[in-house]
Amino acid sequence: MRAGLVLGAVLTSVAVAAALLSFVWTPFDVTGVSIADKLRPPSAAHPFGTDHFGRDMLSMVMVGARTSLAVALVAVGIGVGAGVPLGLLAAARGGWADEVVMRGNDLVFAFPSLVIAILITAAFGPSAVNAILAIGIFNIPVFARVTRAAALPIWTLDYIRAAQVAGKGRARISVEHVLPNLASLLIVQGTIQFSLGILAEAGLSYVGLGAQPPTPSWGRMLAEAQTMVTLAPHVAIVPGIAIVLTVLGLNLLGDGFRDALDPRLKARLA
Amino acid sequence: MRPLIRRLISLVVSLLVASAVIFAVVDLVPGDPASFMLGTGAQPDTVAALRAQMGLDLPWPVRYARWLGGVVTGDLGTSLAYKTPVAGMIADRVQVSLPLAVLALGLAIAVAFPAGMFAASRRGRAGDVAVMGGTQLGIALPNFWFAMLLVLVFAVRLRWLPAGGFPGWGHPLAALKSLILPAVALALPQAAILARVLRSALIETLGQDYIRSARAKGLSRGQALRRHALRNALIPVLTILGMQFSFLLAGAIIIENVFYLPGLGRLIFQAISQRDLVVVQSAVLVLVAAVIVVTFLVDLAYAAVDPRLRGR
Amino acid sequence: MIGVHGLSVRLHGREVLSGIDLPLPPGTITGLVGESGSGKSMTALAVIGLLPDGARTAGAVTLDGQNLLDLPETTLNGLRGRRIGMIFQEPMTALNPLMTIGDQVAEVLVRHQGMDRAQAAARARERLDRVGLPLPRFPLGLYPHQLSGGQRQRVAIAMAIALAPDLLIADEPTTALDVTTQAQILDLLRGLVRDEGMALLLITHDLAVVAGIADRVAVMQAGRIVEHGPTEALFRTRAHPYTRALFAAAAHSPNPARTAPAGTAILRVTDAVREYTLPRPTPLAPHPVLRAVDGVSLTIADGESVGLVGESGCGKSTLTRAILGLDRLQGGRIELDGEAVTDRMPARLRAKVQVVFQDPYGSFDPRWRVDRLVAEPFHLTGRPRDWRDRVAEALAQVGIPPDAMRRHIHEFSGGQRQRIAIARALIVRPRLVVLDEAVSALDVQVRAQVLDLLADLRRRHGLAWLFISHDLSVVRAISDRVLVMDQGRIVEDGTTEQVLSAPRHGVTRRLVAATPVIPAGWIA
Repeated sequence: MRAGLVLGAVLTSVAVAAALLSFVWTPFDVTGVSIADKLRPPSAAHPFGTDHFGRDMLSMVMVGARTSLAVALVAVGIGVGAGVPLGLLAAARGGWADEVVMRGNDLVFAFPSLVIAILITAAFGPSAVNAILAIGIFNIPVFARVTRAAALPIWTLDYIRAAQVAGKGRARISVEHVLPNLASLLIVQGTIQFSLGILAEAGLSYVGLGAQPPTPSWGRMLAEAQTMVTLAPHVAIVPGIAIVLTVLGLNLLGDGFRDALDPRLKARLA
Repeated sequence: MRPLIRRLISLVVSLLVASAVIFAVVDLVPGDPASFMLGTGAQPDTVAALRAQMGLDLPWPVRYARWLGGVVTGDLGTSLAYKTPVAGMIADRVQVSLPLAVLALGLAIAVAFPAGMFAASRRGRAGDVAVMGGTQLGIALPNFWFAMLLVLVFAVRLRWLPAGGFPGWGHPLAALKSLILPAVALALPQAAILARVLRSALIETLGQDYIRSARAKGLSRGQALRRHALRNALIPVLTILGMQFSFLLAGAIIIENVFYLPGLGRLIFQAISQRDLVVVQSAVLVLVAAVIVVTFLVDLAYAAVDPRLRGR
Repeated sequence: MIGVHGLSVRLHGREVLSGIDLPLPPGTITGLVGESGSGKSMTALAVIGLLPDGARTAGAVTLDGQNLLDLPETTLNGLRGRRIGMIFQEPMTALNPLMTIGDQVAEVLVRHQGMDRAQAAARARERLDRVGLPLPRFPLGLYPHQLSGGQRQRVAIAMAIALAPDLLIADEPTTALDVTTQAQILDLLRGLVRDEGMALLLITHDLAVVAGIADRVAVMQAGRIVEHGPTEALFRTRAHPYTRALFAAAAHSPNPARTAPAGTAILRVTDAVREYTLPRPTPLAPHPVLRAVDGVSLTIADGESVGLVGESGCGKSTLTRAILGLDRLQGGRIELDGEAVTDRMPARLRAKVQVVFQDPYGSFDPRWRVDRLVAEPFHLTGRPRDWRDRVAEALAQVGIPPDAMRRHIHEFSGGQRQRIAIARALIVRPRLVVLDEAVSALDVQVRAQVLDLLADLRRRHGLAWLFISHDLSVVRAISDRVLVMDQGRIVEDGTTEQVLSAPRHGVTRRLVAATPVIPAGWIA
């Protein structure tokens, strides 16, 4: 499935490039309101049409990519930064440390990111930071579990025993031997959580728990489009396709990484 | 039944800790919940009256204990916005949210199992590639956007099904009809995930030695898949099913907004916008408790499937 | 009768079997021997029609005059399990963990004879009795995880012979088992062939196993049968050069040249006790305790080579972990060169003992290069400035060229990896090296080379060795003294000659008797 890897890389690159480009250039100014041009269908001047304020949808989608990608990326960072060390600790120490980490994981798992966002919003009011925190907190047990599950079988291998005979402690072995052997798996999981983060951000912004006006975001564009969907379907379809293609690209990339990195997937007895 | 007792204890502990977290976040918000609810222009004595009414002048352990005691006896307090018992409000809303989640889960399973088994049995061939391509697309769909498209096609253009609203269970057929599109929107992305997990779990088990033994006994590929691989593949699939229930509940909160369904999700958003924290607190607790109970049930299901886990 | 005629198999364009001819007459045991990768298992899979996808066959596998290679899959499904049965190497994974043993045996009967549940269960009961799993200890409702490896292999055999097939194929059926269990399983197979008149194709890498059981032997090398004949005649004549090389390696004993051990002790274990607490059986009962090591005392002199043998579960692995300072004892004491061994002993002391493990694949971090891998024990002593030269020197000593240093471990064969593992153990110049089943996973020819290397290194460096193995023939080849362990205790301790030729303890006698040997007269 090389084609999947290539397609994934292309789609992801387009999304990232659009987000980066939007910092220096967009076809139109997204802050400019032009009611006369509202809800125009796609045309040469506005390839994706215009929204209910007459803003260029292509420019909006580009700026929106910024929010979606940034929120998802930071949320993955939170998940990796806290979850991987916890998972490594649980696998290395076992016993009560393992128990505490895993029970903590179970507890956080009982709070879907939307519920976390609801709680944070109830306490502090809505903002894009809520979305990052909510998705990031939800990512922590995901990475902790993946790390622990993959680290445990490594700890039974003889090269770990050899490192112990060479006088190395558990922390050092975790960093020198266990973590590098998990890297490919974490990259794969990272792309998966990245794409889930984009979906979650869109959902949170859609219900008003994420990015707040005037920050454009794909989810918010869809929320605003909902009442106009029968009048001008493109305002609902364009941001949705942007989400689908970006998430699809990341998933294909993740699958491609896994196939390229996992020799176990090579042919087996039928 | 020692293992069951241990799991039950751990269930109760999880529920207690989760309730404490929810209580802490909502009740210990920076600033005073009473003035937060009344807005910035409130009179000090109005705030003080509300504080006394809410019991906010008591120390927090006492407040937590009171709240928890209420929860256990089914008294979730009184809504500040509607002045009605929260328990009754939630009970009404659960009658929409729970059938929606169950319907979606059933739909997801009904689609995912045949698809996953089909793909696994034709690994690497055209059928597998087609199914896997479809699931990639399914996973990438934001359910609320998919819901909008469904409304556009099946409600606005074809007029087969209602675009939103809920007639109540007094009209069972109409009620069911109004849940179909939301359930499909929720189920399809989850079915895609489930089908992929089932396929890879099946492929993993099909590579095991006992499948070779089964083939050496004279079982065909299909028989080996159905009789030996499927049950073993169920173990990872159960884990995902348990997690999916929580995704479905969370997804339902969003989907209810697309379809204007009077479920738990709509209640929560109304409560947030009305600063009705008593309702938020209780509704969130119900959601989280549901997830924890489902996790507990999945744990029990493991033992039913895997004899190695019995008596442990 | 079943026979193989001119069988060739191509897999992904490569010929893996060429022109195999193998008659498999009823009531006869045919041994198929050769090194790993020679095509033994591929031959078996071709006979039962379970070759990997994409394999292309030529020639014939005949049964009742039909060529099985031409038959459609559905017809083959009807033959497998009824006319041809097969058992595999790994009893731990060969049974479905979620199905009772009774159901797994009964499945064959239901599949092929359409028996109802009660009939099938009764017949399954009878077959399990036949393979030595009688009531009341082994009811049909047991699950595989409740059985030991040997018992699971018996279930697999019961499955394979449930319908008394014409041919039973056994692919390394005892390789994963203890010697005593191996002897029992081989006895069972021999009895089944005698009673039921089936043909048995026994695939093994172990010439001694074949010598003890097979009527005929075929020797395989690189996808061909190079020699085939009645066992004794073939063993005596060894017409083909490859056969001769294989036999020489199996009978190999490294140049003894045993150094006289010094009087000082490098390792002294006194009354060592290691216990594990098990889960409580009922909520209020105390935790039951498993004494894995139960009052062991032993001494190894400087420069001495000591073998430690015992069956799996006897406690030798636990004892090894304690000696390496990876695990703490609950009682007793371990002294290395006069100082106490603990799990937090100083690096200086730890550097006096190093280890070589069994699995040449799991012993190395796949992401590290060889130079870094071999240099890892320098963590104990501080890495000297000339560490690269030291690594190159250590590699040279074990016969690995210096250009290996920048390569990853997957580029090496099993035997080369074991040499690199030895280089790693020797890099800090320890006084005692623990060899934990260090040659058990190697083919006979490679094993002979590694044993030679070990003997040579000991002569040169005056090392002391603790050689842990379940295989008496390996221990015999290399140790001055043998310790026998059983149920956490050392039950016998004496010179190798003494212990192996005149065993005193029952366990030792059982081990010696169960170890397959090629009759002395056959290889003169």
